[in-house]
Amino acid sequence: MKKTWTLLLSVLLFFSILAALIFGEVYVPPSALLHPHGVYSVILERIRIPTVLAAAAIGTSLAVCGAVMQMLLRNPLMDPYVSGTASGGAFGAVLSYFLLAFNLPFAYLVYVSPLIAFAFALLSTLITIAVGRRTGVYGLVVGAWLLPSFSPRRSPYSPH
Amino acid sequence: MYGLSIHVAMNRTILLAAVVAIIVVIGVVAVLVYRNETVVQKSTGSTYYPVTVRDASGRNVTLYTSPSRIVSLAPSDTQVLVSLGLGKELVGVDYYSYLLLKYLNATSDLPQNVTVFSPSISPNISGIVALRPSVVVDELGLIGDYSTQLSEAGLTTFYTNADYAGNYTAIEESITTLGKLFDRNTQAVELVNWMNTRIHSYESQGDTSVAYLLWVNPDHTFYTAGSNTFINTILNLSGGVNVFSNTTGYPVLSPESLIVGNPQIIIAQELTNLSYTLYMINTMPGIANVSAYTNHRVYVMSQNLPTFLLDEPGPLSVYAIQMINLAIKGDAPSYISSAWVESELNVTLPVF
Repeated sequence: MKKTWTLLLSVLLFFSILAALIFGEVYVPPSALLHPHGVYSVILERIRIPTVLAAAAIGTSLAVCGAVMQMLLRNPLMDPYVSGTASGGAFGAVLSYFLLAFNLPFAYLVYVSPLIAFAFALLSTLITIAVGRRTGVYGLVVGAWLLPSFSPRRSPYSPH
Repeated sequence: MYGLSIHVAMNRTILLAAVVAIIVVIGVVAVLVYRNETVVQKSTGSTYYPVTVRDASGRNVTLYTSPSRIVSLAPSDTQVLVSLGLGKELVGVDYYSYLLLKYLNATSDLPQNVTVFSPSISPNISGIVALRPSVVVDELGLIGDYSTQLSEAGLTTFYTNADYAGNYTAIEESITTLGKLFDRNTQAVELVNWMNTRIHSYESQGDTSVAYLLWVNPDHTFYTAGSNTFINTILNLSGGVNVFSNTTGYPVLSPESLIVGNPQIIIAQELTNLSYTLYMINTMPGIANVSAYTNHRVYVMSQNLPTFLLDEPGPLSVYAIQMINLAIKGDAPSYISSAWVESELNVTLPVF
């Protein structure tokens, strides 16, 4: 049963990657996938392939993260909005944009922004876990919903 | 005794009747005098008013007397009104109108104590009412749903739709309409002639492919102008061909379309500042395969006067043809600044 699912999803992954390479704003004919030429080679090489690989990698890591979170907090309903991870990350991302005030070059900032967001996402998740340890699963949920309230209010990404 | 009391009562009735009669007579005379006065006022003023003109929203707007206090809330309208010689009648303008006149060193066309409304999405209705304007002029696209509020505040409003003009004829129609409303028909004809003379002297034929970037998003998708837009008309008149003319309106496209379009020239509007604009263009995936980039034919227009000429369809837009034409011919600097446009094109707003 597990083997069948793996096989099925692998086939689905293969076809979705293929479809993502062919369809888009510019239609890339399937023949151009085998023998890329002219604009098609540029589009595939510079835009489509990096995007598809990044999308697959990000999807995989998100799925693993979700599973880890649910195991870690022993709750199958856990998601990053409940645990405060998303709010912490949003706060970090917004904070990094405020660093523009220190005249960081923009090119440098776009690479720094995800790191700062990650650090804050990690921090807020750890606080949530600490709250959960002390008060159990209900305290955890309430604590995680309160947590974003202490970060600067109403970043466009915060869930509530 | 009895007879006397009757006599007194009768006297009282007569007195009362007399008082009533006097009040009625005074009232009637007052009404007559007032009426005569207004009639006299009308006949001493121009015979042009009252005039009824249909505005862009399809309403018939009637002005009963010559409007002496005008509020203009859009740069495209302010251009026209000042050009028609109504500058001194403007009691209030929006911030961007004032900014435009400041770029042109033409703020002296307005009264010295003109009220400038600070930039905001919603109009400052109480501020407008306080100016007691005879008429408020605005763009239909800018006023949106606030038009109801302006009408409810008792303001006479007149809307134009030049911001959605697809070509110069639509702008000229808007000028003619405003000329009709403000008794400036001859000036409107002169202004339209002025525009046409310049369009004919600036326009040129050519087939240089141009990509016009209105705005580049952080993910490198960008807004551009499609075939039915004013910008497309300007590109064609200045000897260019819009590579995205297969689209309509203002679509968001990805760098893929830019690679396929492979324009000979890229003209971009400044995003926040020049270095960020260049950063966003230079980091577009696949830009190295676009001939405009490899041949160093990327032009950035600064966000003040140069983009005003393209984004605010009005009389001054005729200079946009000349500006884009110079870029297409390769005679413009890669950063088309306000100062360059002022000195090179000698942008002036005619006042008739």
